[in-house]
Amino acid sequence: MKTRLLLLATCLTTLLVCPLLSVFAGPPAPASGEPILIGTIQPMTGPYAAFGVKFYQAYNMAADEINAAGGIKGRPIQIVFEDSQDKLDLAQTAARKLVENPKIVALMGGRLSGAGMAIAQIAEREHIAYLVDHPSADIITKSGFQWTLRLNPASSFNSVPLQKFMKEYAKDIKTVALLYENSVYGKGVTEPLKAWLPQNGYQVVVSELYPPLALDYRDLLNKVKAQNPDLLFLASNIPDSALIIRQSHELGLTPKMICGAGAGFSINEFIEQAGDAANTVFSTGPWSGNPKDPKVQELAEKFYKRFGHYPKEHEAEGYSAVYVMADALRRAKSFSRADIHDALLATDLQTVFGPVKFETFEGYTNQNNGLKNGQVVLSQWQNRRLYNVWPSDVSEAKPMYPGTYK
Amino acid sequence: MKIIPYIQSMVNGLLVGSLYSVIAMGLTIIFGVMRVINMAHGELIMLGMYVAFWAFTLFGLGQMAALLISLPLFLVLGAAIYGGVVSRVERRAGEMGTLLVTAGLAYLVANAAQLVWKADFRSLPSALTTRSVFLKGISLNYSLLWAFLAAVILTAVTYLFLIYTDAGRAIRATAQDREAAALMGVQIHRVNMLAFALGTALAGMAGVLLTPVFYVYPYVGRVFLVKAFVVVVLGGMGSIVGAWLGGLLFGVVESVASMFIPSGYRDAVGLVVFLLVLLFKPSGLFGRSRV
Repeated sequence: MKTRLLLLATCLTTLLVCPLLSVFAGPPAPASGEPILIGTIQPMTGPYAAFGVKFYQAYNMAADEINAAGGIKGRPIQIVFEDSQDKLDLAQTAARKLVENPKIVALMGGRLSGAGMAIAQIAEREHIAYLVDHPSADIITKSGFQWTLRLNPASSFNSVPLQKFMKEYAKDIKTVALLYENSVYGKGVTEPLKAWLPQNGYQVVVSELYPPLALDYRDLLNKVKAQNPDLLFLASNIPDSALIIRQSHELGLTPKMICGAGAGFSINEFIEQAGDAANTVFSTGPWSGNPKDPKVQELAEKFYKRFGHYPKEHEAEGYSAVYVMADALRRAKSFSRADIHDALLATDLQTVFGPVKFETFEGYTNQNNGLKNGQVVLSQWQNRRLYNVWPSDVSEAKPMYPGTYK
Repeated sequence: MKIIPYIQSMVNGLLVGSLYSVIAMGLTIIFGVMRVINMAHGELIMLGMYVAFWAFTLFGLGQMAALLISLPLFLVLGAAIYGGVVSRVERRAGEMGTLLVTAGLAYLVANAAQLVWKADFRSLPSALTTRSVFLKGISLNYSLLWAFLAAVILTAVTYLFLIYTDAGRAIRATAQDREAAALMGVQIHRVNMLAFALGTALAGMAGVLLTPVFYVYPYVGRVFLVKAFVVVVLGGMGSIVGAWLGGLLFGVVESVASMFIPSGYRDAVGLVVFLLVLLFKPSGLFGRSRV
């Protein structure tokens, strides 16, 4: 009896971990004809809901502006949200649900790379354009998908500013520890760096994949501390990124430099949750637009006015994605999925995120070349704000190096 | 020099393990007395974490105060869950029924928490939680150290209560033999309610202690429920001392093992221990076989 009970208990625990699906719909657009629907898959609930909220704000802000300015050929656009909780199976279900609605003309979003990959496969099968604005793993645009286009930089580009910084500025770094979450994102940003390091004379002393949302990273950080690396590189999402920084501070782990890879290191929740320990932490990844561009400054102000926080990479990407969509819808011969796909492919647009043009190069298909366009930067948390610090032509502050918060 | 990281990892394991102990004790008391596997135990921990979080955020109350608030709160909650849900189902549907109903309750509580408090991850300000004292290169986090002390005191008090008070004796008698206890005049229904309330209070207070060291979010309970199962089985189902030692042992094993294996397999350590114990010593390391 006891064993049976236990078995059942174990099954139930597994069941409990399976989530419930919930649906979010965007607010109705001002009425002027039937709205054009664009589907998006975002984590609106669950641990990564903070990211979903950012895209919700950015998309709706852009859509409201476009609709206020007359919409697309007199019709408003509306973003239809489906919740994925950033889980692969839910992302698939959500994407299918959107695709089955004939009024949805295109897909965008995805947030986590794993979810992005799942959506891209469905988009390819179902012949609907999928505009990627945040999932960064190389594989998404390196799988030869014709219906998937990406405006944000691919993950291989993300560590390039860090690499340049190590070559040109932080020349005393010799040993590196890599901690990255076991996900398409974690591997996508870390593996190119991991391959680059030994080729350039650096020694990788720890390289560990960890399961996301493990909550206790003391053991892992203890392992890093035993090797005393010069640079600690991290690829984590929000709750983990802050927790890792807090716990490494608690353990007295103070390498010359701690650098995260965008995601959980480039949003305000990071500084809110990690506190002062987050100061001096670097982040390498997509920028949030050129800080010297007046349009970027204008977006920052109006975003702050409406939502109470400044936009970072996620908001800049999401906001620009809607403008890319609107531009394609205006140029499309009809509102059929195929015509919109053709129009998206021909995109050549200046957005707050910088120039957007989908190119096929070096194994990538329909990838905006963020590396060429300078859309990846190294930034650093200083006095509780994230400033671009490298390369110097788009920097807002001087890098604080070496040293970590003590 | 190279030994330091291993000592550090054992220390971490012991400190975190003491919290697993408190969680497992709550689970094991309820199981020992009622043969109810409380699937909502994790959610009770989650509620305890929110109590500590809001006590600090809204009223600036520290952990000591949060502990004092949560004790009566969770005793009442536990009694209410038992009286309102578990006992009714137990009468009609037996052990399977209570297992299923507590699982349902877990869903309900977690989703209600998500509705009310959102899926946000919340944590106490880091200034309070990341301070450490260093002893010969070993870092001791204040919050963890304090949680450890509180866990030791909680365990001792619970143990003394069970051994030396009449109510404690009644609980132990019921756990040993329900019919015999009933024949001796023990009011089984009341004892069950007391045991459930006690187990709930331990879960809630463990939650309070966990708050500064972890994150609070609606589904956090599950992380601890799985670990608590392993600890309870390791220590022997229904054994208080077993739960205490099992928690410490599990904390240390998990922590030290992850120094040697890739951290991706960290959670596998617990599950392998779980399987090994069930295979070779199903009554647990410290439990008497009841079957």
